[in-house]
Amino acid sequence: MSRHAVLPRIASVLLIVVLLLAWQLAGIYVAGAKALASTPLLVIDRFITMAGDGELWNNLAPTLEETFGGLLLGLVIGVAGGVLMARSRLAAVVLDPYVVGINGVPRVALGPFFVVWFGIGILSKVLLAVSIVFVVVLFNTREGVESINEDLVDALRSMRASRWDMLRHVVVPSLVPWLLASIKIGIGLALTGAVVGELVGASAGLGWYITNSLNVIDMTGAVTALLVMGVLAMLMYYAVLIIERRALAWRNDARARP
Amino acid sequence: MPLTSSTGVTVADVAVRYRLRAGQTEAGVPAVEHVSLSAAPGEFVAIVGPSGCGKSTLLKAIAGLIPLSHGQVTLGSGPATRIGFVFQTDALLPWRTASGNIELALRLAGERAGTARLRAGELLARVGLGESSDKYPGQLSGGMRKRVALARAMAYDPALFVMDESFSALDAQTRIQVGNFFLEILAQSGQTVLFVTHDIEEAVTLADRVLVMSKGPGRIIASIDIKLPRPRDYYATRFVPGFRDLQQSVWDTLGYSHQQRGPRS
Repeated sequence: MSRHAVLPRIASVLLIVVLLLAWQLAGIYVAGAKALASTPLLVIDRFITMAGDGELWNNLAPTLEETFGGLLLGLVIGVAGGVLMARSRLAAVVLDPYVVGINGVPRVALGPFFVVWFGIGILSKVLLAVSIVFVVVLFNTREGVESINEDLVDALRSMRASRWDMLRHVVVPSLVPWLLASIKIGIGLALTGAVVGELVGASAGLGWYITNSLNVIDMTGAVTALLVMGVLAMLMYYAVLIIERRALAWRNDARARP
Repeated sequence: MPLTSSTGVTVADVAVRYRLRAGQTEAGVPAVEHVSLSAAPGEFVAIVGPSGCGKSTLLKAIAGLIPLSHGQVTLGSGPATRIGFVFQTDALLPWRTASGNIELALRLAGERAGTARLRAGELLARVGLGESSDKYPGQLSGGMRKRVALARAMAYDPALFVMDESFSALDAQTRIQVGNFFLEILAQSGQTVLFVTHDIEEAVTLADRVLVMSKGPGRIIASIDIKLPRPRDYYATRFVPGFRDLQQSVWDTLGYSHQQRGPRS
């Protein structure tokens, strides 16, 4: 790592320390703050208890399943739709108003409907996440297909490449950066869908844990679940970043050139 | 290095029309019309003309990249003839290394992976890029990328080079270097070349024959034999006696003359 990158990182860590400290002190010295927002030490304590008695995993697992399920299915539907709309004029004309319409609706408002239609289990949350994720993926994929470099296509065609070769060597690699960008945005969106679904109606999950804690005025429990979600989204994002760095090595190397 | 057998090309009354809209039944906008030309095996034919005259369209049609609306293209040794298309951009896959790009061309031509790897190394050494074989195109300069693109076209072992303003994106010095490099390859392997350019000096320097196209829809309006001695040099040939006269005669067919300024009416 270069020296330039080290200082901002130290500052970033320091900022977290300062914020946590301020939170802890507020809990001790500001009247009522502890009741409204708990304190970092209480949260850490709760986290350890939850991890120990299995409550953490029991609520983390369904949220993870819903998030990944929603992300994966959203990617599949988004990519298929994006490719279809980029390649077929008919599909583009027919589907365009619907995609724009769906994109305009605040999908979280669908949460109660989905719980009524698909039950309080995992399915309703997965579908809510899909409804949010797929539109972004679709737009990205469509743009990606339309921006494939025609010269590359012609170059391979002049070498009599098969459709399979074209897909493998030109189309898929061209779409990878767009797909990774979609996934990075999609992680947060899928988590939103999953948690909103849990807030509306569920029997487990981090969102359910928040509603449940607040019902009994257990602020520490609610905040702990909230922070677990934040860390979860962050870890998933950085995981994609690592994948991206490897998959797009050709681009990073080129950019590193002075 | 296998010595390629070159092939002749015959283009008979070819027209290419672009449809304005999918499913449109009318004839569409003609890009080129009534174009007939031929190149003998090993001949270097340059095609010049004003921008928008359909030069690039014609090349793509000859290479089979876009369908003909009318006419016929015959390649000497049949439809399986290998064509080395060199574009104005380098058209290298940015996610494959220099070597990887050339290996892909070899694999598509039916070579095995091991052989392709070896041959790619040889070809890169030949274009003076042996050290850069594991670099990505984004890490190479424009001139280096163009040499990789030429090496890739050579790797495909073409009987015919089809070149669309292949050197025009390079700076003047790099162009001389790459141009001379290309002339050397041709002197060794003797492929037929169709070379589209808007640079008349370049056309006269390189070609055995210069074809002049009219404004769009393009037609061939003149064919000028360039009887300059070979080997040629991408730069020095411009000072060979007779060069200016040949250049002038190309300009004349485009409607310009050195006595008058501006187009002749």
